[in-house]
Amino acid sequence: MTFRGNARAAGILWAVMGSMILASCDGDGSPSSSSTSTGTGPATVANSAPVTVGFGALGPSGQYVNGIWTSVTVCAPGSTANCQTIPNVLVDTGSFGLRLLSSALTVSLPNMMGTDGNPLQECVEFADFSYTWGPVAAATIEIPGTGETASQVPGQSTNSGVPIQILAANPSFPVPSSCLPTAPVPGILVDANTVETLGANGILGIGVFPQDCGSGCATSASLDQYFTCPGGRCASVAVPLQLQVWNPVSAFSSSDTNGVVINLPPVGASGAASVNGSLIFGIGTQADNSIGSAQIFEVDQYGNFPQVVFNGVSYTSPNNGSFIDSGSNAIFFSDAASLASTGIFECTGQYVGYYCPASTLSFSVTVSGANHTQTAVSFSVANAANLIGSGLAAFSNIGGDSGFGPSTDYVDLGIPFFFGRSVFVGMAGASTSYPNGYWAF
Amino acid sequence: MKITLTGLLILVLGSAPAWAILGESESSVTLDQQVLRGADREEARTGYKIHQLTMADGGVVKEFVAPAGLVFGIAWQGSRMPNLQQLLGSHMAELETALQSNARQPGRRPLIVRTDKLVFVSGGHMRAFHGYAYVPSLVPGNVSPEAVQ
Repeated sequence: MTFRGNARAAGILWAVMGSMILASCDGDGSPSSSSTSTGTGPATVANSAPVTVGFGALGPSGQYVNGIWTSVTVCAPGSTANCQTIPNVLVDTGSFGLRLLSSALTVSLPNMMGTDGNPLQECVEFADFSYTWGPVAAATIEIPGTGETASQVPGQSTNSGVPIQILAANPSFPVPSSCLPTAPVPGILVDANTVETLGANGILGIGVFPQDCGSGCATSASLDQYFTCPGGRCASVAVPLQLQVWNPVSAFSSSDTNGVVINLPPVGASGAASVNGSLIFGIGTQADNSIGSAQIFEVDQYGNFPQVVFNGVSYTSPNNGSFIDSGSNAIFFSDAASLASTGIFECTGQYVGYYCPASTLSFSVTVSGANHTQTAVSFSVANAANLIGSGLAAFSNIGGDSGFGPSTDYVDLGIPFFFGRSVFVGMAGASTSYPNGYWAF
Repeated sequence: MKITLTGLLILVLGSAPAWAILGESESSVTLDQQVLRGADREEARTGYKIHQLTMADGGVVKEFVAPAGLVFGIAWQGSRMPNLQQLLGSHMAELETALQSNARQPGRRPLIVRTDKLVFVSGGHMRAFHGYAYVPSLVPGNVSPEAVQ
């Protein structure tokens, strides 16, 4: 992939952002009293946004299959005029908080300031050695097609903005080596700060946690996730929860703050060019988000199923932590060597990492919740090279390796799992019955 | 003068490359412990032993040591990925070569590398990462690579 950042636009943006500092950002990190309550409770608003599974920002040539996309509007905090709607943002239940490419942004957003008074920067790493790096900005976040708006973190000043990460194609500061798993060697660490490398204009992280780091970053700088760069020298800093990049769902002004539902229709064995579904905010708060007969699986403190069983082998969290992730474009489970007897082969060439069986195979994993519920999840795996090579974009039957043997494997239920289901993601802290958060389906 | 010399010595020793660990001697675990700021707990198993380093943030790194004293495998889990340059040492080059020869597909997924010299996996999601690596030629004959977990 080529690296094509919009250097000029980003440079202008940084100049603007650098000059804006909002006094309402709690510089000292102390909680301020809420002034949003009117005594009548939150309003009921339209809560269903359209989502599409398709090729997204890269188009067909990018071959980013099974990406799930929506649009997000960001405004300068409290503004209703200084706003921009950004399409092709990944809907991601495997991360927390909103991240947007600087190259996709034209609206000016103020920096969030760390407790030392300097602009906060963040480095986010993903397991595949890709990372994002850039400043934390304050924004009012709206979901187009709905009345959902997040103008501040719960408990913070009205219209102080919700912390989001700006993915900087041309960062003001080089990414600190301490936040990366290895040196930034080209071809090994992927700088996912451009549309070419991220495959999206941004990521809308709506998983179970309200913040993208949590208490670990609030009490210590040792996780090397948040930084300030006084004098151009970046050093990791501790960051109170309210300044961390925040899952907008839990900051909505409506009553729909306890979770989300993703509804996608079924997809046939040969795939589909694109699939339209909905992202509904709130669980049990309105007529369209009732949990009904869906079975609830409380996650553990890591945001995982405590245990899943596949082929008689038990995989336990956190070492073999298994999870549901709309940001994963396949079901990753077991490994090609362990599955050889079933007729699974690993794909070769550009599709390495996916499974390429000669004929479609059926599998089942049993997932367990911390609340002692369990169920079997069945799925099919067809030849990924043939499927992706067909030119379609949405597939219910793509699988891939999760490790190199039973001791290292786990189960990542990606987008194929979501087709033909309503999947509920209950936020941690929103329910006394399931304090860690939950999935239901 | 004495004080200055001692100071220099500390400076020199303190800045020595704290390089470990996969394929290196067990003593390099101590370096990892210092770099990763973890507490070490040693555990004997049949045919090998495990050093388990627990970081203040709850992250855990395990190092698997063969009777001959070489580290043959590592495993980690935590809310951030560990410093793999530190843990893989010279085997980082093997990982780089393998990754650079693979065309990268878009979409998030586990990272898996399997060569004659190194087997590696990195998986998980934001706030909960895990991974494993071992050097096939260093795994003791009577120990399964599945021990690295």
